[in-house]
Amino acid sequence: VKLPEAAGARSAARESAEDAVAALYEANALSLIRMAYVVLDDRHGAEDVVQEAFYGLYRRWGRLKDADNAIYYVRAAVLNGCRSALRHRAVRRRVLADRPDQRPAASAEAMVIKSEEREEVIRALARLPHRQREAVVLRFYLDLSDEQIARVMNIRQSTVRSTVARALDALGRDLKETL
Amino acid sequence: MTPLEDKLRRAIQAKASQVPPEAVPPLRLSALRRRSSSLAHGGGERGGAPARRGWLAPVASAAVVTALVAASVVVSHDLADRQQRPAQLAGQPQRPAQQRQRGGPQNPPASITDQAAAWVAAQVSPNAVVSCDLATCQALDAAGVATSRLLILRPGGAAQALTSTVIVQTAAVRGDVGARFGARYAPVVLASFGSGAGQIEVRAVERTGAAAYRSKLADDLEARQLATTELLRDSRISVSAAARRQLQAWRVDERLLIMISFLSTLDRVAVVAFGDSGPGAGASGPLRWAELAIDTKSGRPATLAELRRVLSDANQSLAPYRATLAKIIAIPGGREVLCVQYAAPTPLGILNYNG
Repeated sequence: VKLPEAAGARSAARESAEDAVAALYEANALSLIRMAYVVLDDRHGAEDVVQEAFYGLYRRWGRLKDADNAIYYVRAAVLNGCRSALRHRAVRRRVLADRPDQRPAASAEAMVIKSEEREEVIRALARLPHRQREAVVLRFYLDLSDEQIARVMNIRQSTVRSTVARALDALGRDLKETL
Repeated sequence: MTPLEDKLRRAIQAKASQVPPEAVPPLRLSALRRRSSSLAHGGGERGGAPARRGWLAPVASAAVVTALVAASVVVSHDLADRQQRPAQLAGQPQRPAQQRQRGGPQNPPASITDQAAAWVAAQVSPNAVVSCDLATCQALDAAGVATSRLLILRPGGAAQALTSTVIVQTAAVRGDVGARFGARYAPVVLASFGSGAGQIEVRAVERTGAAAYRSKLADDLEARQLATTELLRDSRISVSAAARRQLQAWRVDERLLIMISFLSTLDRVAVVAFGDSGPGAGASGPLRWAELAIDTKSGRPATLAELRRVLSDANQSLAPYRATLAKIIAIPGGREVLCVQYAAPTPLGILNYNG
Protein backbone atom coordinates (compact mmCIF):
# COMPACT_ATOMS: atom_id res chain seq x y z
CA VAL A 1 0.00 0.00 0.00
CA LYS A 2 2.88 2.29 0.83
CA LEU A 3 4.60 2.08 -2.52
CA PRO A 4 1.82 3.53 -4.67
CA GLU A 5 1.33 6.30 -2.11
CA ALA A 6 5.02 7.13 -2.15
CA ALA A 7 5.06 7.02 -5.92
CA GLY A 8 2.00 9.25 -6.01
CA ALA A 9 3.64 11.72 -3.63
CA ARG A 10 6.77 11.78 -5.74
CA SER A 11 4.72 12.34 -8.87
CA ALA A 12 2.78 15.17 -7.21
CA ALA A 13 6.01 16.74 -5.99
CA ARG A 14 7.47 16.55 -9.49
CA GLU A 15 4.40 18.14 -11.01
CA SER A 16 4.48 20.86 -8.41
CA ALA A 17 8.17 21.52 -9.11
CA GLU A 18 7.52 21.61 -12.84
CA ASP A 19 4.68 24.09 -12.37
CA ALA A 20 6.72 26.30 -10.08
CA VAL A 21 9.78 26.30 -12.36
CA ALA A 22 7.61 26.88 -15.42
CA ALA A 23 5.96 29.89 -13.73
CA LEU A 24 9.33 31.31 -12.77
CA TYR A 25 10.59 30.73 -16.31
CA GLU A 26 7.62 32.52 -17.81
CA ALA A 27 8.16 35.51 -15.59
CA ASN A 28 11.94 35.77 -15.93
CA ALA A 29 13.19 33.96 -19.03
CA LEU A 30 13.19 36.99 -21.32
CA SER A 31 15.12 39.25 -18.96
CA LEU A 32 17.60 36.46 -18.17
CA ILE A 33 18.12 35.58 -21.84
CA ARG A 34 18.66 39.25 -22.57
CA MET A 35 21.11 39.54 -19.69
CA ALA A 36 23.01 36.46 -20.91
CA TYR A 37 22.95 37.89 -24.43
CA VAL A 38 24.52 41.14 -23.24
CA VAL A 39 27.28 39.13 -21.56
CA LEU A 40 27.81 36.54 -24.30
CA ASP A 41 26.84 38.40 -27.48
CA ASP A 42 25.39 35.09 -28.68
CA ARG A 43 21.63 34.57 -28.70
CA HIS A 44 21.61 30.79 -29.00
CA GLY A 45 24.27 30.54 -26.34
CA ALA A 46 22.19 32.81 -24.08
CA GLU A 47 19.08 30.66 -24.58
CA ASP A 48 21.07 27.50 -23.79
CA VAL A 49 22.54 28.97 -20.63
CA VAL A 50 19.10 30.01 -19.37
CA GLN A 51 17.55 26.62 -20.21
CA GLU A 52 20.35 24.87 -18.34
CA ALA A 53 19.91 27.18 -15.36
CA PHE A 54 16.18 26.43 -15.11
CA TYR A 55 16.79 22.73 -15.53
CA GLY A 56 19.32 22.91 -12.69
CA LEU A 57 16.70 24.69 -10.58
CA TYR A 58 14.15 21.99 -11.37
CA ARG A 59 16.55 19.26 -10.29
CA ARG A 60 17.30 21.02 -7.01
CA TRP A 61 13.77 22.22 -6.33
CA GLY A 62 13.17 19.75 -3.49
CA ARG A 63 16.33 20.90 -1.73
CA LEU A 64 15.55 24.61 -1.86
CA LYS A 65 14.91 25.84 1.68
CA ASP A 66 12.93 28.81 0.53
CA ALA A 67 11.16 29.19 -2.81
CA ASP A 68 12.02 32.90 -2.69
CA ASN A 69 15.62 31.88 -3.17
CA ALA A 70 14.82 30.32 -6.53
CA ILE A 71 15.32 33.49 -8.53
CA TYR A 72 18.70 34.09 -6.87
CA TYR A 73 19.71 30.54 -7.62
CA VAL A 74 18.72 30.84 -11.26
CA ARG A 75 20.41 34.23 -11.75
CA ALA A 76 23.63 32.86 -10.26
CA ALA A 77 23.34 29.78 -12.48
CA VAL A 78 22.92 31.97 -15.56
CA LEU A 79 26.04 33.95 -14.66
CA ASN A 80 27.97 30.73 -14.01
CA GLY A 81 26.77 29.36 -17.35
CA CYS A 82 27.88 32.56 -19.10
CA ARG A 83 31.28 32.32 -17.43
CA SER A 84 31.61 28.72 -18.55
CA ALA A 85 30.54 29.60 -22.12
CA LEU A 86 33.07 32.44 -22.25
CA ARG A 87 35.79 30.11 -20.94
CA HIS A 88 34.90 27.58 -23.62
CA ARG A 89 35.00 30.31 -26.23
CA ALA A 90 38.45 31.39 -25.02
CA VAL A 91 39.70 27.79 -25.23
CA ARG A 92 38.35 27.46 -28.76
CA ARG A 93 40.07 30.64 -29.84
CA ARG A 94 43.29 29.53 -28.25
CA VAL A 95 43.34 26.02 -29.68
CA LEU A 96 42.15 26.97 -33.13
CA ALA A 97 43.58 30.48 -33.30
CA ASP A 98 39.93 31.22 -33.97
CA ARG A 99 38.83 34.69 -34.90
CA PRO A 100 36.41 36.57 -32.68
CA ASP A 101 32.83 36.20 -33.85
CA GLN A 102 32.13 38.31 -36.89
CA ARG A 103 29.84 41.17 -36.04
CA PRO A 104 26.82 41.63 -38.25
CA ALA A 105 27.23 44.12 -41.05
CA ALA A 106 26.27 47.61 -40.00
CA SER A 107 22.60 48.28 -40.67
CA ALA A 108 21.23 51.67 -41.58
CA GLU A 109 20.31 52.15 -37.96
CA ALA A 110 23.80 51.18 -36.86
CA MET A 111 25.19 53.98 -38.95
CA VAL A 112 23.49 56.44 -36.64
CA ILE A 113 26.03 57.92 -34.27
CA LYS A 114 24.05 56.95 -31.16
CA SER A 115 24.10 53.29 -32.19
CA GLU A 116 27.80 53.46 -32.85
CA GLU A 117 28.29 54.86 -29.38
CA ARG A 118 26.22 52.09 -27.83
CA GLU A 119 28.14 49.42 -29.70
CA GLU A 120 31.37 50.96 -28.43
CA VAL A 121 30.05 50.82 -24.86
CA ILE A 122 29.09 47.16 -25.30
CA ARG A 123 32.52 46.35 -26.71
CA ALA A 124 34.15 48.09 -23.76
CA LEU A 125 31.87 46.12 -21.44
CA ALA A 126 33.06 42.89 -23.09
CA ARG A 127 36.65 43.85 -22.35
CA LEU A 128 35.99 44.02 -18.59
CA PRO A 129 36.99 41.08 -16.37
CA HIS A 130 34.11 38.60 -15.97
CA ARG A 131 33.23 39.58 -12.42
CA GLN A 132 33.10 43.31 -13.16
CA ARG A 133 31.01 42.73 -16.26
CA GLU A 134 28.55 40.59 -14.31
CA ALA A 135 28.19 43.15 -11.53
CA VAL A 136 27.60 45.93 -14.07
CA VAL A 137 24.96 43.94 -15.94
CA LEU A 138 23.15 43.01 -12.72
CA ARG A 139 23.21 46.63 -11.63
CA PHE A 140 22.41 48.43 -14.86
CA TYR A 141 20.26 45.88 -16.64
CA LEU A 142 18.40 44.02 -13.90
CA ASP A 143 18.53 47.08 -11.58
CA LEU A 144 19.48 44.92 -8.61
CA SER A 145 20.53 46.48 -5.31
CA ASP A 146 23.96 45.88 -3.76
CA GLU A 147 22.37 43.34 -1.44
CA GLN A 148 20.71 41.45 -4.30
CA ILE A 149 23.88 41.47 -6.41
CA ALA A 150 25.82 40.19 -3.40
CA ARG A 151 23.40 37.27 -3.06
CA VAL A 152 23.56 36.38 -6.75
CA MET A 153 27.34 36.63 -6.98
CA ASN A 154 27.94 35.20 -3.51
CA ILE A 155 30.18 38.08 -2.50
CA ARG A 156 29.95 40.82 0.15
CA GLN A 157 28.06 44.05 -0.46
CA SER A 158 31.24 46.06 -0.01
CA THR A 159 32.84 43.92 -2.73
CA VAL A 160 29.88 44.63 -5.00
CA ARG A 161 30.36 48.37 -4.52
CA SER A 162 34.11 48.23 -5.16
CA THR A 163 33.67 45.92 -8.17
CA VAL A 164 31.09 48.20 -9.79
CA ALA A 165 33.25 51.25 -9.02
CA ARG A 166 36.31 49.62 -10.60
CA ALA A 167 34.26 48.59 -13.62
CA LEU A 168 32.94 52.13 -14.12
CA ASP A 169 36.43 53.50 -13.71
CA ALA A 170 37.78 51.11 -16.32
CA LEU A 171 34.89 51.83 -18.70
CA GLY A 172 35.41 55.56 -18.25
CA ARG A 173 39.08 55.22 -19.16
CA ASP A 174 38.34 52.90 -22.05
CA LEU A 175 35.62 55.09 -23.54
CA LYS A 176 37.28 58.43 -22.93
CA GLU A 177 38.51 58.73 -26.47
CA THR A 178 35.33 57.56 -28.10
CA LEU A 179 32.60 59.20 -26.02
CA MET B 1 23.31 58.92 -12.12
CA THR B 2 26.47 60.02 -13.93
CA PRO B 3 26.52 60.50 -17.73
CA LEU B 4 28.66 57.34 -18.02
CA GLU B 5 26.16 55.30 -16.00
CA ASP B 6 23.36 56.67 -18.12
CA LYS B 7 25.14 55.76 -21.37
CA LEU B 8 25.95 52.34 -19.99
CA ARG B 9 22.36 51.66 -18.99
CA ARG B 10 21.03 52.79 -22.38
CA ALA B 11 23.63 50.77 -24.26
CA ILE B 12 22.85 47.61 -22.29
CA GLN B 13 19.09 48.12 -22.71
CA ALA B 14 19.54 48.62 -26.46
CA LYS B 15 21.69 45.52 -26.75
CA ALA B 16 19.25 43.46 -24.68
CA SER B 17 16.29 44.61 -26.76
CA GLN B 18 17.84 42.86 -29.76
CA VAL B 19 16.33 39.70 -28.23
CA PRO B 20 12.60 40.05 -29.04
CA PRO B 21 10.02 38.74 -26.54
CA GLU B 22 8.88 36.06 -29.00
CA ALA B 23 12.44 34.68 -29.03
CA VAL B 24 11.99 32.98 -25.66
CA PRO B 25 11.92 29.23 -26.38
CA PRO B 26 9.56 26.97 -24.42
CA LEU B 27 11.01 25.48 -21.24
CA ARG B 28 12.32 21.99 -21.97
CA LEU B 29 12.57 20.21 -18.65
CA SER B 30 11.96 16.69 -19.94
CA ALA B 31 14.14 17.06 -23.02
CA LEU B 32 17.01 18.23 -20.84
CA ARG B 33 16.85 15.27 -18.51
CA ARG B 34 20.23 13.59 -18.24
CA ARG B 35 20.93 10.00 -19.06
CA SER B 36 22.20 7.93 -16.21
CA SER B 37 25.22 6.62 -18.07
CA SER B 38 28.45 6.53 -16.09
CA LEU B 39 30.27 7.89 -19.10
CA ALA B 40 27.82 10.47 -20.29
CA HIS B 41 26.16 13.66 -19.34
CA GLY B 42 23.27 14.86 -21.41
CA GLY B 43 21.91 18.24 -22.20
CA GLY B 44 19.64 20.27 -24.33
CA GLU B 45 20.32 19.80 -27.98
CA ARG B 46 19.76 22.80 -30.12
CA GLY B 47 18.04 22.31 -33.37
CA GLY B 48 18.94 24.15 -36.51
CA ALA B 49 22.20 24.70 -38.32
CA PRO B 50 25.39 23.74 -36.52
CA ALA B 51 26.69 27.21 -35.74
CA ARG B 52 30.15 26.02 -34.74
CA ARG B 53 30.88 25.09 -38.32
CA GLY B 54 31.32 28.80 -38.93
CA TRP B 55 34.87 28.71 -37.68
CA LEU B 56 35.97 25.84 -39.87
CA ALA B 57 36.81 27.91 -42.92
CA PRO B 58 39.13 30.38 -41.15
CA VAL B 59 40.59 27.53 -39.12
CA ALA B 60 41.31 25.51 -42.23
CA SER B 61 43.01 28.54 -43.80
CA ALA B 62 44.99 29.12 -40.60
CA ALA B 63 46.01 25.47 -40.53
CA VAL B 64 47.19 25.60 -44.15
CA VAL B 65 49.20 28.78 -43.51
CA THR B 66 50.69 27.27 -40.36
CA ALA B 67 51.57 24.07 -42.19
CA LEU B 68 53.28 26.05 -44.97
CA VAL B 69 55.24 28.16 -42.46
CA ALA B 70 56.18 25.06 -40.47
CA ALA B 71 57.22 23.25 -43.64
CA SER B 72 59.42 26.14 -44.74
CA VAL B 73 61.02 26.29 -41.27
CA VAL B 74 61.65 22.54 -41.30
CA VAL B 75 63.12 22.69 -44.81
CA SER B 76 65.44 25.58 -43.94
CA HIS B 77 66.43 23.88 -40.68
CA ASP B 78 67.02 20.65 -42.56
CA LEU B 79 69.19 22.38 -45.19
CA ALA B 80 71.22 24.16 -42.51
CA ASP B 81 71.68 20.94 -40.58
CA ARG B 82 72.63 18.96 -43.65
CA GLN B 83 75.65 21.20 -44.16
CA GLN B 84 76.89 20.41 -40.63
CA ARG B 85 75.69 16.86 -40.52
CA PRO B 86 78.33 14.44 -39.30
CA ALA B 87 79.85 12.36 -42.04
CA GLN B 88 79.23 9.24 -39.99
CA LEU B 89 75.47 9.41 -40.66
CA ALA B 90 75.35 11.19 -44.00
CA GLY B 91 74.67 8.76 -46.80
CA GLN B 92 75.29 5.77 -44.54
CA PRO B 93 73.04 2.81 -45.32
CA GLN B 94 70.90 1.54 -42.46
CA ARG B 95 72.32 -1.55 -40.85
CA PRO B 96 70.80 -4.03 -38.42
CA ALA B 97 71.49 -3.44 -34.73
CA GLN B 98 74.07 -6.18 -34.27
CA GLN B 99 76.24 -4.69 -37.05
CA ARG B 100 76.18 -1.15 -35.66
CA GLN B 101 79.31 0.46 -34.29
CA ARG B 102 79.77 0.07 -30.54
CA GLY B 103 81.93 2.42 -28.50
CA GLY B 104 83.05 0.08 -25.76
CA PRO B 105 82.20 -2.69 -23.31
CA GLN B 106 79.90 -0.43 -21.22
CA ASN B 107 77.57 0.25 -24.10
CA PRO B 108 74.09 -1.21 -23.72
CA PRO B 109 72.97 -4.32 -25.57
CA ALA B 110 71.66 -3.63 -29.05
CA SER B 111 68.17 -4.73 -28.05
CA ILE B 112 68.02 -2.06 -25.33
CA THR B 113 69.34 0.56 -27.74
CA ASP B 114 66.69 -0.45 -30.26
CA GLN B 115 63.94 -0.23 -27.62
CA ALA B 116 65.10 3.25 -26.66
CA ALA B 117 65.36 4.28 -30.32
CA ALA B 118 61.88 2.98 -31.09
CA TRP B 119 60.48 4.86 -28.10
CA VAL B 120 62.16 8.12 -29.12
CA ALA B 121 60.98 7.73 -32.71
CA ALA B 122 57.39 7.17 -31.58
CA GLN B 123 57.11 9.45 -28.56
CA VAL B 124 59.49 12.38 -28.85
CA SER B 125 58.32 15.51 -30.62
CA PRO B 126 59.14 15.47 -34.35
CA ASN B 127 60.60 18.97 -33.92
CA ALA B 128 62.98 17.98 -31.13
CA VAL B 129 66.73 17.78 -31.73
CA VAL B 130 68.11 14.63 -30.09
CA SER B 131 71.69 14.39 -28.90
CA CYS B 132 73.24 10.94 -28.65
CA ASP B 133 76.40 8.90 -29.07
CA LEU B 134 77.20 7.54 -32.50
CA ALA B 135 75.78 4.05 -31.93
CA THR B 136 72.53 5.38 -30.51
CA CYS B 137 72.23 7.98 -33.28
CA GLN B 138 72.61 5.17 -35.81
CA ALA B 139 69.85 3.23 -34.06
CA LEU B 140 67.65 6.34 -34.03
CA ASP B 141 68.35 6.86 -37.72
CA ALA B 142 67.35 3.25 -38.35
CA ALA B 143 64.18 3.74 -36.27
CA GLY B 144 63.12 6.58 -38.52
CA VAL B 145 64.27 9.72 -36.69
CA ALA B 146 65.32 12.25 -39.33
CA THR B 147 69.10 12.60 -39.42
CA SER B 148 68.71 16.38 -39.44
CA ARG B 149 67.38 16.06 -35.89
CA LEU B 150 70.31 14.00 -34.60
CA LEU B 151 73.28 15.57 -32.89
CA ILE B 152 76.22 13.22 -32.40
CA LEU B 153 78.06 14.12 -29.22
CA ARG B 154 81.83 14.34 -29.02
CA PRO B 155 84.00 14.15 -25.89
CA GLY B 156 83.58 17.38 -23.91
CA GLY B 157 80.28 17.93 -25.74
CA ALA B 158 78.23 19.36 -22.85
CA ALA B 159 77.83 22.74 -24.58
CA GLN B 160 76.86 20.91 -27.76
CA ALA B 161 74.28 18.85 -25.83
CA LEU B 162 72.72 22.02 -24.43
CA THR B 163 71.60 22.95 -27.95
CA SER B 164 69.46 19.80 -28.15
CA THR B 165 65.93 19.27 -26.82
CA VAL B 166 66.40 15.69 -25.70
CA ILE B 167 69.51 13.74 -24.76
CA VAL B 168 69.78 9.97 -24.90
CA GLN B 169 72.16 9.21 -22.06
CA THR B 170 74.26 6.10 -22.32
CA ALA B 171 77.52 5.38 -20.47
CA ALA B 172 79.38 6.77 -23.49
CA VAL B 173 77.34 9.99 -23.42
CA ARG B 174 77.88 10.37 -19.67
CA GLY B 175 81.60 10.17 -20.44
CA ASP B 176 81.25 12.82 -23.18
CA VAL B 177 79.11 15.39 -21.34
CA GLY B 178 80.08 14.62 -17.74
CA ALA B 179 78.37 12.50 -15.13
CA ARG B 180 76.54 15.52 -13.61
CA PHE B 181 75.10 16.85 -16.87
CA GLY B 182 71.81 15.07 -16.26
CA ALA B 183 71.33 16.45 -12.75
CA ARG B 184 72.34 19.96 -13.82
CA TYR B 185 70.74 20.38 -17.22
CA ALA B 186 68.45 17.44 -17.88
CA PRO B 187 66.54 16.81 -14.65
CA VAL B 188 63.52 15.16 -16.29
CA VAL B 189 63.75 11.49 -17.22
CA LEU B 190 61.27 10.89 -20.03
CA ALA B 191 61.96 7.16 -20.26
CA SER B 192 64.53 4.67 -19.06
CA PHE B 193 65.64 1.34 -20.53
CA GLY B 194 67.88 -1.40 -19.15
CA SER B 195 69.83 -1.13 -15.92
CA GLY B 196 73.31 -0.72 -14.50
CA ALA B 197 76.12 0.51 -16.73
CA GLY B 198 74.10 -0.42 -19.80
CA GLN B 199 71.12 1.74 -18.81
CA ILE B 200 69.81 4.25 -21.33
CA GLU B 201 67.93 7.31 -20.11
CA VAL B 202 66.03 9.62 -22.41
CA ARG B 203 66.07 13.03 -20.75
CA ALA B 204 64.65 16.45 -21.60
CA VAL B 205 67.36 19.11 -21.79
CA GLU B 206 66.74 22.33 -19.87
CA ARG B 207 69.45 24.73 -20.96
CA THR B 208 68.70 27.25 -18.20
CA GLY B 209 69.51 24.61 -15.59
CA ALA B 210 67.68 22.36 -13.17
CA ALA B 211 66.93 25.12 -10.64
CA ALA B 212 65.23 27.29 -13.27
CA TYR B 213 63.34 24.23 -14.46
CA ARG B 214 62.06 23.47 -10.95
CA SER B 215 60.90 27.05 -10.57
CA LYS B 216 59.00 26.93 -13.89
CA LEU B 217 57.60 23.55 -12.94
CA ALA B 218 56.26 24.94 -9.63
CA ASP B 219 54.42 27.70 -11.55
CA ASP B 220 53.14 25.11 -13.95
CA LEU B 221 51.85 22.82 -11.24
CA GLU B 222 49.91 25.72 -9.77
CA ALA B 223 48.36 26.49 -13.16
CA ARG B 224 47.70 22.77 -13.70
CA GLN B 225 45.84 22.59 -10.37
CA LEU B 226 43.61 25.50 -11.33
CA ALA B 227 42.95 24.07 -14.79
CA THR B 228 42.20 20.64 -13.35
CA THR B 229 39.78 22.08 -10.81
CA GLU B 230 37.96 23.96 -13.59
CA LEU B 231 37.89 20.86 -15.74
CA LEU B 232 36.44 18.70 -12.96
CA ARG B 233 33.74 21.31 -12.37
CA ASP B 234 32.73 21.39 -16.03
CA SER B 235 29.35 19.73 -16.44
CA ARG B 236 30.27 18.70 -19.99
CA ILE B 237 33.24 16.65 -18.83
CA SER B 238 33.03 13.45 -16.82
CA VAL B 239 35.94 11.32 -15.68
CA SER B 240 36.39 7.74 -14.53
CA ALA B 241 37.51 7.23 -10.92
CA ALA B 242 41.06 6.32 -11.95
CA ALA B 243 41.31 9.29 -14.29
CA ARG B 244 40.05 11.57 -11.52
CA ARG B 245 42.83 10.37 -9.21
CA GLN B 246 45.42 11.04 -11.92
CA LEU B 247 43.98 14.49 -12.57
CA GLN B 248 43.98 15.32 -8.88
CA ALA B 249 47.62 14.26 -8.65
CA TRP B 250 48.22 17.04 -11.25
CA ARG B 251 49.89 14.51 -13.52
CA VAL B 252 48.08 15.16 -16.77
CA ASP B 253 49.91 16.94 -19.58
CA GLU B 254 48.69 20.51 -19.97
CA ARG B 255 48.11 20.18 -23.70
CA LEU B 256 45.78 17.28 -22.95
CA LEU B 257 43.86 19.36 -20.37
CA ILE B 258 43.37 22.07 -22.98
CA MET B 259 42.35 19.57 -25.67
CA ILE B 260 39.74 17.98 -23.36
CA SER B 261 38.43 21.43 -22.52
CA PHE B 262 38.34 22.29 -26.22
CA LEU B 263 36.48 19.11 -27.17
CA SER B 264 33.96 19.79 -24.40
CA THR B 265 33.03 23.02 -26.16
CA LEU B 266 31.79 20.89 -29.05
CA ASP B 267 30.39 17.78 -27.36
CA ARG B 268 30.28 16.03 -24.02
CA VAL B 269 33.54 14.32 -23.13
CA ALA B 270 34.08 11.39 -20.78
CA VAL B 271 37.69 10.61 -19.89
CA VAL B 272 38.00 6.84 -19.87
CA ALA B 273 41.73 6.66 -19.11
CA PHE B 274 44.98 8.59 -19.04
CA GLY B 275 48.32 6.98 -19.64
CA ASP B 276 51.81 6.84 -21.05
CA SER B 277 54.36 8.63 -18.96
CA GLY B 278 57.19 6.60 -20.51
CA PRO B 279 58.83 3.40 -19.22
CA GLY B 280 60.92 4.10 -16.13
CA ALA B 281 59.82 7.74 -16.01
CA GLY B 282 58.51 7.32 -12.46
CA ALA B 283 55.22 8.39 -10.95
CA SER B 284 55.86 12.08 -11.52
CA GLY B 285 56.05 11.94 -15.31
CA PRO B 286 53.20 13.73 -17.06
CA LEU B 287 50.50 11.60 -18.66
CA ARG B 288 50.43 12.47 -22.32
CA TRP B 289 47.78 10.13 -23.64
CA ALA B 290 44.03 9.82 -23.08
CA GLU B 291 41.06 7.77 -24.21
CA LEU B 292 38.03 10.00 -24.55
CA ALA B 293 34.45 8.83 -25.01
CA ILE B 294 32.37 11.40 -26.83
CA ASP B 295 28.66 11.93 -26.33
CA THR B 296 26.48 14.29 -28.29
CA LYS B 297 24.90 17.22 -26.49
CA SER B 298 21.71 15.21 -26.13
CA GLY B 299 23.64 12.58 -24.19
CA ARG B 300 23.79 9.68 -26.63
CA PRO B 301 27.14 8.13 -27.56
CA ALA B 302 28.60 9.61 -30.72
CA THR B 303 28.30 7.48 -33.82
CA LEU B 304 31.43 6.56 -35.77
CA ALA B 305 30.71 9.34 -38.28
CA GLU B 306 30.31 11.85 -35.46
CA LEU B 307 33.51 10.59 -33.86
CA ARG B 308 35.33 11.09 -37.16
CA ARG B 309 34.04 14.64 -37.23
CA VAL B 310 35.37 15.21 -33.68
CA LEU B 311 38.70 13.69 -34.76
CA SER B 312 38.78 16.08 -37.67
CA ASP B 313 38.05 19.00 -35.31
CA ALA B 314 40.87 17.88 -33.01
CA ASN B 315 43.21 17.69 -35.98
CA GLN B 316 42.37 21.29 -36.91
CA SER B 317 44.03 22.60 -33.78
CA LEU B 318 47.31 24.42 -34.04
CA ALA B 319 50.66 23.89 -32.33
CA PRO B 320 51.29 23.31 -29.49
CA TYR B 321 47.75 21.98 -28.94
CA ARG B 322 47.70 19.71 -31.94
CA ALA B 323 48.09 16.08 -30.86
CA THR B 324 50.94 13.99 -32.24
CA LEU B 325 48.51 11.13 -32.58
CA ALA B 326 44.72 11.25 -32.65
CA LYS B 327 42.77 8.22 -33.74
CA ILE B 328 39.60 6.24 -33.10
CA ILE B 329 40.04 2.97 -31.24
CA ALA B 330 37.67 0.38 -29.75
CA ILE B 331 37.95 -0.17 -26.00
CA PRO B 332 36.89 -3.34 -24.11
CA GLY B 333 33.12 -3.46 -24.27
CA GLY B 334 33.19 -2.47 -27.92
CA ARG B 335 32.74 1.28 -27.60
CA GLU B 336 34.73 3.39 -30.00
CA VAL B 337 36.60 6.24 -28.38
CA LEU B 338 39.02 8.95 -29.37
CA CYS B 339 42.64 8.29 -28.46
CA VAL B 340 44.76 11.45 -28.19
CA GLN B 341 48.48 11.51 -27.55
CA TYR B 342 51.04 14.29 -27.22
CA ALA B 343 54.78 14.04 -27.80
CA ALA B 344 57.45 14.26 -25.13
CA PRO B 345 58.84 16.35 -23.62
CA THR B 346 55.89 18.22 -22.12
CA PRO B 347 56.50 21.94 -22.65
CA LEU B 348 56.13 24.15 -19.61
CA GLY B 349 54.24 27.41 -19.49
CA ILE B 350 51.40 26.34 -21.79
CA LEU B 351 48.69 27.14 -19.26
CA ASN B 352 50.29 30.44 -18.33
CA TYR B 353 50.34 31.49 -21.95
CA ASN B 354 48.04 34.41 -22.54
CA GLY B 355 47.94 34.53 -26.31
